Amino acid sequence: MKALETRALTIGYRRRRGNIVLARDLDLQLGRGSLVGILGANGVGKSTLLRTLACMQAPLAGQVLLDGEETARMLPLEVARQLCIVLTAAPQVSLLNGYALVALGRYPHSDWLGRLSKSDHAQITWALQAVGATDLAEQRVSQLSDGQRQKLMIARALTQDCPLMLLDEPTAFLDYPRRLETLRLLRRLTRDADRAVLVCTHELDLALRYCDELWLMSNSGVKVGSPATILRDGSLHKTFGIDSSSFGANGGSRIFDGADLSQPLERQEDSII
Amino acid sequence: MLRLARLPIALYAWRGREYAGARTWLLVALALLLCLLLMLSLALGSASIPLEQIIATLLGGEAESAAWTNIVLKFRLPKTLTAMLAGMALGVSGLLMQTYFRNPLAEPFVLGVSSGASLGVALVVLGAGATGGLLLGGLNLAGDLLLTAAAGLGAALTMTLVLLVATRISNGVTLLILGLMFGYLVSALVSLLLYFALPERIQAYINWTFGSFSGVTSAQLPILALIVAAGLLLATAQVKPLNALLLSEDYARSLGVPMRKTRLGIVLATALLVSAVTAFCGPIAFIGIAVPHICRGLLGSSDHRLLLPGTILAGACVALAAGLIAELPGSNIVLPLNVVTALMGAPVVMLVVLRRARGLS
Repeated sequence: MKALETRALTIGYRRRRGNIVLARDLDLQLGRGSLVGILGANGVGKSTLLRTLACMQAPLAGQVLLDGEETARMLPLEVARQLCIVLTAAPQVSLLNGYALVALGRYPHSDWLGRLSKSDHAQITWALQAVGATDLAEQRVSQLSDGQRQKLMIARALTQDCPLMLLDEPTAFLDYPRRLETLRLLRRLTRDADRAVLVCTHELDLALRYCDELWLMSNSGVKVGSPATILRDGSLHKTFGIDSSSFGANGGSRIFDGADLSQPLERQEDSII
Repeated sequence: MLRLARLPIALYAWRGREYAGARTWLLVALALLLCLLLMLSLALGSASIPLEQIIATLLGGEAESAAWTNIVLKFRLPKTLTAMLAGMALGVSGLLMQTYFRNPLAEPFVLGVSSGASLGVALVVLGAGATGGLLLGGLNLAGDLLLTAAAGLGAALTMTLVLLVATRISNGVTLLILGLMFGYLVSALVSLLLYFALPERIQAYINWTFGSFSGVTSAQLPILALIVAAGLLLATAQVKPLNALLLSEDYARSLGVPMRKTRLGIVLATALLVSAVTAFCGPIAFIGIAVPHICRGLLGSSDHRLLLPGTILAGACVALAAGLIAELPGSNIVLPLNVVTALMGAPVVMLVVLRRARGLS
């Protein structure tokens, strides 16, 4: 059974004067133990796809299945036990410590007051260790940096203990070493904890380097393939409208090896395009 | 007594790592302060009655003079309990709205919910003149129920309106401005009603807007207590979703919070609490906005498992203190309650806003 499956999924927004369709008839699959990246230009519907998969907005048509079960027939709590999310901006919460923030991930598993059992505490401690945020546990969240808070939000998603994890540009506000670290962590999770991870990102080089599979989103639909095939058959270049020669002739998964990593990534992408 | 003995155990549950940095012991201090203020509120007044006489009366005995028994049981006890209930209700409704709207300035008064209740009451008090005023002739139970129902309906309608707007506009500032504008609209309507109303009805309405804890008789007290208890229970049931809402509505939904149910619970609880208090005590300002801030500052936590009991205790304390100050013990003057709450609450709100501004810059 796949952790995530879509059947003839059409995503977009309902409007009174005709719906806005961003992609139609998507049949996608995501198995446990794999890290998948969604790539695509701005406004092509990456976030919409992610929000639809996470049940944060309804599909225009078709179905989303989690572990073989249709999400439309599941209760919010049942969905919360199957998938967790991390959004672009980590929320600003005053007067909570890091531990309490991560503990919120136990929501779908705890009693009506959200009291934590011994196993809950063990889970939280493990998640804090996994993201390397043990030292943030007793600090106030409001005093942490964006990167530190995002780390805690990923730990919070881990404590939710779901087979599927969705992340919407989780590294957008982080510096380069932190971006690298986050992608490495996600990859490790798919290997060690057997999770399925779907990450929406603009980091072409990191996605190519770390993902097992890429979903290339463009106006004509979603193209699925391994990083190597996608680079070889030129669909990456087509999606972003870039001349293949500017990537360097040999291709491979380390396309940016020659690029200057001390510069902000956006700048690099500009210079490449 | 058994319950009291279990209090330290309950507080021990608040010693987990998720509460590190929070001052949970202050809940005990607040409870003790509440006891002290309850005693003071019963003991102080225009007539000086010895403390042991008051205690004897409360325990079911008779005081030395029948007048003393009368004062304690018919005036001070209902007034004290009303202040306590109103403070609890206003504090909790402020907490619910501040968390739900993710806005530190949200409270029933600012968002126009109290204005809605005022319009309901104004329609009944002022409109009753036109229909002969049969319901408000005396302070009979049916009249009060009508008043409460009118205030409740007004509050619930406004709250629904605010929520309908809130689902479309997630910007808190816009929502606050809309609430303020709604308040102006309502006061214009009330002015219109006043313009055509009988003078004695106008006086009745103006007295109602001053706010008072002493207008509730022992016959009405159970109704107020029942509604406030229902509202507080409903609020308690929302503690876990409220904690999830600290992140954001999207995150809360992803954690499995049934948003529709939770929103309904928050609206209902707020409407119950605000409407009951507004109907029985008038539109009391600033307790709802100030108490949650005081509690967050004191307890050092945003966790609603601490904040809810905290606001219940602190709300009662603040209301009792305001009631005491308004009575100016030892004198025969009674100040309008809203004067006192505004003088106490406005500086707190200013402090919060200034501290936030400094934190942002």
